Amino acid sequence: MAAVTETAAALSLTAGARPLSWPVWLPLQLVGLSFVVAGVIAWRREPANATGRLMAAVGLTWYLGDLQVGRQPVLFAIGFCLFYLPSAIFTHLILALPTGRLQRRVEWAVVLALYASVTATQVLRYLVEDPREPQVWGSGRYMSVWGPVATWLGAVCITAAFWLVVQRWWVAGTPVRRRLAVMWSAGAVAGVVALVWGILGVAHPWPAMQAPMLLTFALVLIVTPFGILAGLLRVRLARLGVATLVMRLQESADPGHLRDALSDVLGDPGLRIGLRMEDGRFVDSAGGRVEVPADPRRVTVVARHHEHLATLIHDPALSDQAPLVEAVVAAASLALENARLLAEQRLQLEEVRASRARIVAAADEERSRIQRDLHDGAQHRLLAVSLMVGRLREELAGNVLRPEQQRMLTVVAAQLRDIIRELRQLTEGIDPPALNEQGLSAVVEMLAERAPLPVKFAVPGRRWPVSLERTAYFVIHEALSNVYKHAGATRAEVSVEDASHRLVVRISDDGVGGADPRGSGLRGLRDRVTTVGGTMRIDSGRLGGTTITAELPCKS
Amino acid sequence: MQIMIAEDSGLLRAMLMDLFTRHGIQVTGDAETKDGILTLIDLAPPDVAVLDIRLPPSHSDEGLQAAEAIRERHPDVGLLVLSHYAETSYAIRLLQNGSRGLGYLVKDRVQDTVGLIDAIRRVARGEVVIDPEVVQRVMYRRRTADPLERLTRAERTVLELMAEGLSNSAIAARLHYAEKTIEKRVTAINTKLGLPHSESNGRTDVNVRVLAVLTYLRRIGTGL
Repeated sequence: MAAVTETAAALSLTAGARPLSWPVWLPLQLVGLSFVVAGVIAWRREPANATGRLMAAVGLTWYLGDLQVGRQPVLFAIGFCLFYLPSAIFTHLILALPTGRLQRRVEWAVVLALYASVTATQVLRYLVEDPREPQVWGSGRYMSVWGPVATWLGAVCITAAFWLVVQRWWVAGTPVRRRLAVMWSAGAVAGVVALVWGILGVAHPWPAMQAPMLLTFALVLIVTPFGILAGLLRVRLARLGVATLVMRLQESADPGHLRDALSDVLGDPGLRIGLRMEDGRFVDSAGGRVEVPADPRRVTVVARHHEHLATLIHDPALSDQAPLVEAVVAAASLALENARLLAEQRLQLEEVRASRARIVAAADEERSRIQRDLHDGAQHRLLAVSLMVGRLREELAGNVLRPEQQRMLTVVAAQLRDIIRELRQLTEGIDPPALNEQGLSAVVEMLAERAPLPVKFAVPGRRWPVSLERTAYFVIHEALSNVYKHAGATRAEVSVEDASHRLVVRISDDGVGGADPRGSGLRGLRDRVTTVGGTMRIDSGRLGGTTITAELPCKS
Repeated sequence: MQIMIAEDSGLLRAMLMDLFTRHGIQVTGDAETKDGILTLIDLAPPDVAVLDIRLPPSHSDEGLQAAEAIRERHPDVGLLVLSHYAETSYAIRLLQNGSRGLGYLVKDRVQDTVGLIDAIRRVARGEVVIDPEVVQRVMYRRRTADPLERLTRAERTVLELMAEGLSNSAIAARLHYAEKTIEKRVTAINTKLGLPHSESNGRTDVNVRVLAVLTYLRRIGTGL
């Protein structure tokens, strides 16, 4: 309020003695007012942001030049010496966007150099020039050398500031660009106009051009503070987006949508969410690993009840918008916690599945080893023993042995033969040797040959990964055993189909049906199938017939 | 007659060599591995190579691989593969290696001295020998509609012996029938089952006939 009163006083002070025509003078006077009004609004909306104060300062100092009108010596001196101060504050304001604080040393250097040059040169002019003419509406005839020096120094500083803005634009991420587009473009236009005006001022080409130039300058500057204000309020609008975010999060429980929603509300398309697992790893909602960068400006930690839930990885520019990010994080923390729990659950499930697969593989390996050991140990030795007995029988035949002894030897040979055959059939069942060498179709043929009832089959002759073939064999073997034992069937059929990315194994019979999925045989089957990530279906009605369909995923 | 043995169990190999020697078969080489037996055979090809199907290093089907390699380099060497299992698919794979001097026996068969020696001699003569257990399995597997039911019991016996690789005269000798009778039965079988008719006294034809019979038996009543 105080600022407004002061501005009004300044206006009334100069109104009586205006040296320029109304159409130029009025817009020029309105520039200060416009900055003060926009500055005060920004100040009240964002007390923590210095941008509003800087804008107000530009507006107030704008009227310092008018102090030259009264010809009162002290006021004239102040008005003359500080005439170009608002342009320095304006540059300061543009470079300090959007927080109101200068971030880099080079920015401070440019701003301080500008403050120094605009005041020092004017003070020098005040001391040197005689008569002293008021700025802007003076004739320029008595201008000392410090006039052009001031213009050139100012031009250099403003060009440097302009360059810094371009540079920041160049490296800024999308959220910053989007937010600052209005402010920077307003500042840039004002800067360009000022620069051109300054240079023309030095060159003094056509005095007739002065009025239109001043008018343009004034109009651009009247609009500028509201452009900046709009930019600042955009940030507030983004915070309103948090409400929309909450609604979006309630609508969809899918953790995959969480990232999109956060990315939208924060205006950062590259946003990533790292959900923190118990072991300290970070994963995304699909379980993929997420690397968290070390740069603290790129990450925001989300905690709930002092527990680190997740880390948002975002554009460094968002670190300027801490209140917005905090609001978003607060709104999304419950959803993030859910997502984290889901991801953790999924990870644990993966681990359980992997460990089951390892157990199965170990069991398979063990069967294979037992079979190999039986083979290379017991079976070979028994054969050798059997050959020895055979030779003994040949050598002793009819000479030394009593008929009773002869009979015993015959029994020994017969027993040995039976043992060897039984052992062979046992080892065939433990681990079908043909599976590794000949593939699934050969072992299904083997099963069919040994079946107690007719088994028809259709199995492609191709090969699949060993683990897959083993699982398929296991399924067919167990399912057929169930058919023989429980189904009372007269026939069975086995088919293996090569669908895209999966193997469909189907075993059906014409038995009594009503198979119990909870029976140990079928449960074991299902366990084995789910271990490799497959699914199993049992169709077994009261009307008879049972079909077991297992779908096993395969990569090729 | 000269033979070579590939068998990785030392004890069994010694027993087999002893057995063959006692039955007048000269063992001119023995090896534990596929490469070992191939080297020996390259140096002095014997009449028959007796090959364990599972040999080091991987103990899978190195014996069959050796058989394939020997057949390629020395087509005159007879091949007798000793398998650990009565596996039709292995037998068929071996039979695809050419037309003569092939044998596939289940390893248990070595206890049957007479059968084993007879098999080696038959392979040396260029005949085909298929283990009766393999033939039984493939012949008497359960079928929903079995064309073999059209055969008489005597014809089925003849078919079995055909599948085992016996020639008509050998079947006649085994069953104590006149060869003419067997020939008639073979013709009847071929007609009833729709098998190709062929004169089967020659050595070459025996293999063709075995393969045809086994393939037929394997196929009927199995497909969906």
